[in-house]
Amino acid sequence: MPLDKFLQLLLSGISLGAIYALVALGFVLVFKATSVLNFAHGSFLMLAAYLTSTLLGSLGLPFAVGLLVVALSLAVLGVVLHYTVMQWMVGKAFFSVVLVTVGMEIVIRAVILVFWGPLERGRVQGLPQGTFSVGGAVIPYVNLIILAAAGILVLAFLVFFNRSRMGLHMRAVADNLEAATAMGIDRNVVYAGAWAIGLLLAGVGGVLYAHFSPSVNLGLGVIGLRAFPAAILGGIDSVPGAIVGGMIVALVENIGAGYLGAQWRDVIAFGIMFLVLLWRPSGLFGTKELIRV
Amino acid sequence: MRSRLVTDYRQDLAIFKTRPQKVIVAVVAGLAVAFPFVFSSDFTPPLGFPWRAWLTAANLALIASIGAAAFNLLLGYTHQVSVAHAAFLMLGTMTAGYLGSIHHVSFWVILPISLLVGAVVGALVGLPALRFRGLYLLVATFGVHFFFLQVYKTFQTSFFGFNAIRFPAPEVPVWLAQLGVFTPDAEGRVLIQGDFRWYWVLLPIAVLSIAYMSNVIRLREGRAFRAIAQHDVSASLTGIDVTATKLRAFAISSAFVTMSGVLGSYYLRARGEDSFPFEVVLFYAIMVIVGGFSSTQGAVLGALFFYFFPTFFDWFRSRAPVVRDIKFLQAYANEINLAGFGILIIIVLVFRPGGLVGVWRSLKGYWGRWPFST
Amino acid sequence: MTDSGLLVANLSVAYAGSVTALRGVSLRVPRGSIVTVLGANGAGKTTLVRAVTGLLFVHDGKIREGTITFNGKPIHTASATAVVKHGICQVPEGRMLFPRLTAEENLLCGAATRRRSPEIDLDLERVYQLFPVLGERRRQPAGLLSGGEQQMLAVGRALMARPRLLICDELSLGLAPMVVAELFRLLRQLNETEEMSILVIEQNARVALENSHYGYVLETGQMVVEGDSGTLRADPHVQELYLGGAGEAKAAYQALVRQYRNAIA
Repeated sequence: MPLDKFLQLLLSGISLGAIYALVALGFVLVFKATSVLNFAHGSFLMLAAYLTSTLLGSLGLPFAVGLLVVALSLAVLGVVLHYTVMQWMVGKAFFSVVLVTVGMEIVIRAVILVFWGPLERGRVQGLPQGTFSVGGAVIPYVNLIILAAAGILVLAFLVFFNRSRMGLHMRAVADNLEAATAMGIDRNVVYAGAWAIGLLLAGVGGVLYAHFSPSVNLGLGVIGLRAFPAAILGGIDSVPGAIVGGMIVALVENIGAGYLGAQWRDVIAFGIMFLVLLWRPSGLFGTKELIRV
Repeated sequence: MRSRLVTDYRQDLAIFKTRPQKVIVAVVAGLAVAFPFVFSSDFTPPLGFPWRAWLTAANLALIASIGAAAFNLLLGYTHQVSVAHAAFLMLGTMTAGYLGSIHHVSFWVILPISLLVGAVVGALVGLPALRFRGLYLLVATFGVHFFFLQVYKTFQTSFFGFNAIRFPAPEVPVWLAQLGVFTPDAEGRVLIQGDFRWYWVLLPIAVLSIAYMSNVIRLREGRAFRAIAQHDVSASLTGIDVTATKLRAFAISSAFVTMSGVLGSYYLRARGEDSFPFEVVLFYAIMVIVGGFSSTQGAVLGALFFYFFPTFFDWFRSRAPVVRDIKFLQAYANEINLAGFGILIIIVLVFRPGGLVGVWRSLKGYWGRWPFST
Repeated sequence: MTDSGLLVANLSVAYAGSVTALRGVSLRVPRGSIVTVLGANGAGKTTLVRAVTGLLFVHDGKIREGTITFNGKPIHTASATAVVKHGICQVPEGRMLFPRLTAEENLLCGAATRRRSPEIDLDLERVYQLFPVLGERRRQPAGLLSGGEQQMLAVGRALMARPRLLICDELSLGLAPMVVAELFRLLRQLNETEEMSILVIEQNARVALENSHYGYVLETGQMVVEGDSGTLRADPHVQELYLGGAGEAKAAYQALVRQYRNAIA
């Protein structure tokens, strides 16, 4: 039944969308707070997925513990990266900073090759593997858990970003860096915080994706790069845009690929973004650029 | 180098303005001519230091320098952030594969055709740039990359099956072959193969292409590019046709990238599905930024760096005393090479964000102001 | 020496390694006083503020020579955060609000360096008492406030840091005279009731000298005149250049204008 197939794709698309939303959120946060376009975002997700396959897959840690360990490791990595590398790039030309993240991406890929080798690893199966059906569509329990975990984290992030003192300082720095500095907000603390949370979100995205995708391999970096169309579609500097953008890209991609064939995934993901941009050149929620002469 | 006052337009438009500049150009030209003779000799340096490998690296760098200069024209001068670079390399490979490998069109005919194809497709790809800006354009051209990748895969499987596209060795043009300098092979043809011959094909093509692009940048068109880079609305008020100029920038840049794609395909002889990963774009970005943003010399230096450094690092890892005894480094040779390169990029950009050209300029400035330099 | 206020001694500042913006500037803001620095565009007023508040690095500027101390502690090498913690906060030139944050969030950013405590909420209420209109608009993005309200917000934000020295850079810029008068009345009130030292950087010399105890005149990076505000107001040089005074120069200029008009008529 064609409707069954559509429902099936729609429902698995929602779980995928939750992951994309998380990943895009981390990407947008780093961009908003530190003005760094992080090309390594995908490789952080990949790193987290590999860590998951070792900690949860091979060592058999419980899901919650493994999630916590991976997420915190990534957050710590974010702080370390800020103080060792990115701190020195503050105020440098935009593309130089972007390329530093490209350099990080290369290094992370090399690290993964050293520790895990080039062969792909199977899907992590630490979660209950059963399925249930809704109106003819078969849904694995895993997808529900992924959706719940991602949803909780997105909410937690929104509360943090809009209600906490650190979140306020992040928004202040994003809005007017010089004014924030004049008020005594230490931008290094804010930047380090943004990197920590950005990577934490990518990390959780990686843990969840390792449970979702059929295998953990070196192609996952491209999945992390889905943050790009998702974030751009929503508007690169918009937090709600990242969430909506992640969801839209995942749904259209999943349904489109289901009908056209998996090889069109990338093209569809970027195609939908392209169409939205033609309609709104600053994304759905992005700040419109004022052009003054 | 003391500063020198310019008193008329002829002086201002001169390409090489000062005597030291002329000297440097002469020295570089001399080195470029001597290079293949030196590095195709049978000399074996101590400690297994690479020798002939430098010629291969130089050829790859020559091909890449065309692409890097074209990338720089668009990114560095016009500030149109397009990452569809690999897409045009694929376009070049497809053009060469379709015309050269299937229809046996001569390499020398394919080159100009590829320029034309690249320009037309480039102008089409440039259309979104009329509406999107900055990062939005960047990610939109991401989409172009993935679209081309899919087209390329379809092209390859439908014409060549699951094998890589193979390219024949091009022949030296008949009039040149008859000069008698070359010894024809058993079938009476003079094939361009081997690093030494390729060098002499690639060097003039690269020099001409880069000279053309520098000229475009230097003259009226280039000023229009830079005006658009600064502020396209203001540029339109000064009478610059923004639409046409943006599309021209895309067309010129894409034309040369496509041609470098053809050169790369013929030089490497085979191109497969995985020859154009997304990283290719990033590699060109590395060449442009590490070499020095908004500088044609920078693009060339960047391309040289990109191919020479790994050759050096590979030797350093495997042969240098002390380092060669570290088992870990040898067990993970490729990974360590990769990581070494990534770390080097980070170091260069952290300490010298102006790139190699920036280093050169500050050295020049230091000597120029001596003994008052600080 | 612990209550000596702000002391700037022989300060020289250069931007981008070569452009000199201040040369040997000295200045004193004793505790509990209002001091003004006058100067035209490009005189180096804002550079002086940046040097004191540790913001030079944002614009690639560096202190070449000289010292800045606050209550005896050197602050010329301190970070912007440390300066605010020492008790110096500024109302920056052009207000520099956070346009997308609400008015209340802007105010809370002013308290960024303070420890979390209920006192912050009390201070918030105090700012709303000083500027009732901000209380009414606390949930609105700062970018949507009017010019006068934005300047009030900028002052309120600086007050949230509980500064012992408040620096106001071009407070009067682009505001209606009534709003300017109101803001300065408030500054004097803060100065009198809370012993807050205030450094007023101004182009509007008349208002600044009427509302301060002591004044300096900065011209192309150097201090050229200083004195009690009353004395400066009477000084012919200051009158001529900064007060649009009625000295001989003005008469001569008016004669010149008449002559020109007659010539073209």
